Amino acid sequence: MYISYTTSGRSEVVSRGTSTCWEGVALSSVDGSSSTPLLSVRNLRTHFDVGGHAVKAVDGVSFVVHEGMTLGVVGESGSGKTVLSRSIMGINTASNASTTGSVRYNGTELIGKSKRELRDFWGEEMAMVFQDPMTSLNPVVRIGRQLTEHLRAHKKMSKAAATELAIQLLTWVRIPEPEQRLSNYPHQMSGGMRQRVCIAIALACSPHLLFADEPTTALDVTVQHQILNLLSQQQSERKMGMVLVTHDLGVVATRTDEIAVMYAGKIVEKASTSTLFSDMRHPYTQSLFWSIPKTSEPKHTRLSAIVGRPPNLAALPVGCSFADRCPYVQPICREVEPQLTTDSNHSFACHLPVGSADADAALSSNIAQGLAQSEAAAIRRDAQTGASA
Amino acid sequence: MGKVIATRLARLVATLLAVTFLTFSMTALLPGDPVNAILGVDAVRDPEVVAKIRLDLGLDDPFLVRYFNWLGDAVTGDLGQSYITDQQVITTISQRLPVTAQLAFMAIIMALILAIPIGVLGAYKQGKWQDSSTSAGVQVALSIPNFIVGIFLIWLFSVKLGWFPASNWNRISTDGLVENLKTAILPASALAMTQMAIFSRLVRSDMIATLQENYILAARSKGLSDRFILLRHALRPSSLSLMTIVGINFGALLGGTVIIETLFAIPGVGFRLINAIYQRDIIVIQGITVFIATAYVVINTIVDLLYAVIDPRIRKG
Repeated sequence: MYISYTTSGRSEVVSRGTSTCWEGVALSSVDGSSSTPLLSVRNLRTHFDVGGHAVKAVDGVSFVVHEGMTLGVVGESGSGKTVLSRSIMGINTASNASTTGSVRYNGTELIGKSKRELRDFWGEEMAMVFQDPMTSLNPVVRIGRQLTEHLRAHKKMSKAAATELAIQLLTWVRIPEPEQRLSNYPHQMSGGMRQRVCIAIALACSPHLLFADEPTTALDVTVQHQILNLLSQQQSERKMGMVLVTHDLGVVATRTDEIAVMYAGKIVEKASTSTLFSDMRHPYTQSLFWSIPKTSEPKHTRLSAIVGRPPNLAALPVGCSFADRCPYVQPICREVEPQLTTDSNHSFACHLPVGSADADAALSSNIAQGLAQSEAAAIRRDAQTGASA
Repeated sequence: MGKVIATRLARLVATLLAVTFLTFSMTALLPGDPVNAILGVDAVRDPEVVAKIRLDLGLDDPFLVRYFNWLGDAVTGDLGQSYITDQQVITTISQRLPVTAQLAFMAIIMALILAIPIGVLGAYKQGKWQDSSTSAGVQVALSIPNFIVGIFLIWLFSVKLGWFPASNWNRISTDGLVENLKTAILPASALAMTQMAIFSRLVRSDMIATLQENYILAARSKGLSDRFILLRHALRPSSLSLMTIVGINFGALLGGTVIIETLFAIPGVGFRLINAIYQRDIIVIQGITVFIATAYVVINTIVDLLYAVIDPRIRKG
């Protein structure tokens, strides 16, 4: 995959060989939208009441996941992506959390269901792979029981049958000597092995929908790829719907059909993966993309980070939440909150979308006025344009 | 494993040396003379008799000599005999320690049976009425001294209901288990009350911490029932500090049930120890102390070994 940049700051992905594959997926997801989607999230809000202030961790998120499709949810830490996936499943345990909106799983509304009713969906219909395999396995329970307990609860399987399936599952996630591993405790395994076990646990009841919440963040770089490939492979073999949550655009670039970029609890840009990489419209998406180090850059190039910090979710600014960090910022951004455009193929929430003439003018005038974040953005852009040219 | 046991034994010996030396020093520092107790305070004091008794008992020897004489005998299995009753210390202990040990054991078991469900419920329903009401009850149980509980139990179950005897002790060997339990249940309950309160607080607070763990959320996301998660996932990791306190308190009960033993007229070790202290019966004090200290070390060794059973990460290959 080669990525080149136009002077306007838009990036274009020129992909060889894989482009037809992506188009095929994009087509199938369009086709699928006519039937009931596997997961349909509409206007989901999860607010935490902290000392009388509403912390808007998820604030009006909508998307659809079809069977066999992977949605990437990308954003910085604190953008609400973990809360989002937990809210969809309904496993937000905090007593001060309130979730509203609509989550339909195969047409069944999940919001408003009791914990007892949701339990039939958890593990069996939808499962989750958590961020840190060091803490998401019970340290005092053998791997074998952790792999089989929900099988026995949901599928009423006998112990022997469940154990047999557990061995099968460990083989699928490529753990050597699975029979011996069943009697191991988590601390006897490496991080990568443990995450494989977590994936096996998630896959045990053959769920139709899998949430993977930063599944590789806690792992060594060498292991990350193996785990991601394993997830993708199992997802496509089982035709599961998958929501892959990550802060790393690089992770979702080749493994997702659609990407939703989250910022401050909202989706700010959403498009099919190929469209998103070829035609980024939101300045935040662009900044995220710029912050991936590239091997094509000269040595000792300064890693470009996004200026500033994500806003306080309890006291969001009027207007666009990204305004304080945006190189294109204009007065309107601080007055009117941009709404997500309604184009279902590529939607974004920005007054001055990247690539528009307005955005170019805004950037130039910001640089002229000495706005530090704009200058930094311009330098980044020039450096990267020069490097890839 | 062999190394572990060797270390434990060395620690036991060191503990016993320290404990016996300290008790010996304490009794030597105390005012009063065992001769008075033997002869009776009002007896006519024939200096020759006094001198003979002192010589027989070795009371005129320097402190260290007396300690090492005692220690030498103790090592060969002779704990000596009481100055006052002439009974062999070993006989006293073999008669009385089982009584106290049974009381302590029953109290701990009863306390655990009540404390674990209460603690788990409190943690599960943290902040809700189930939690605040049990916490209030536990607070009350913690605040009432156990002899008050004992008196109340006697009033209710012996005086009003007449179910159990108010005092006395039936031995398993002579009266059978049922009769024995009839006399044991009330004092054990009185002892269990405070223990229950301590244990349930520990379980509750450890459980609250465990329930915040990622693996509990992960277990929930598998669709397991709350009951299963609480008992099969959260309880074990939440019971490490409980184990420690159970060990320590069991040891403490072995030497500290004096009040309850007195209240229920139970021939336990605490009852005897207090008498020995009043009478400056150093040999008996020493003998009982040695046994209580040994029991302490043994119990805590067992607790340490049980840690590894509860938490596999502690096990070493």
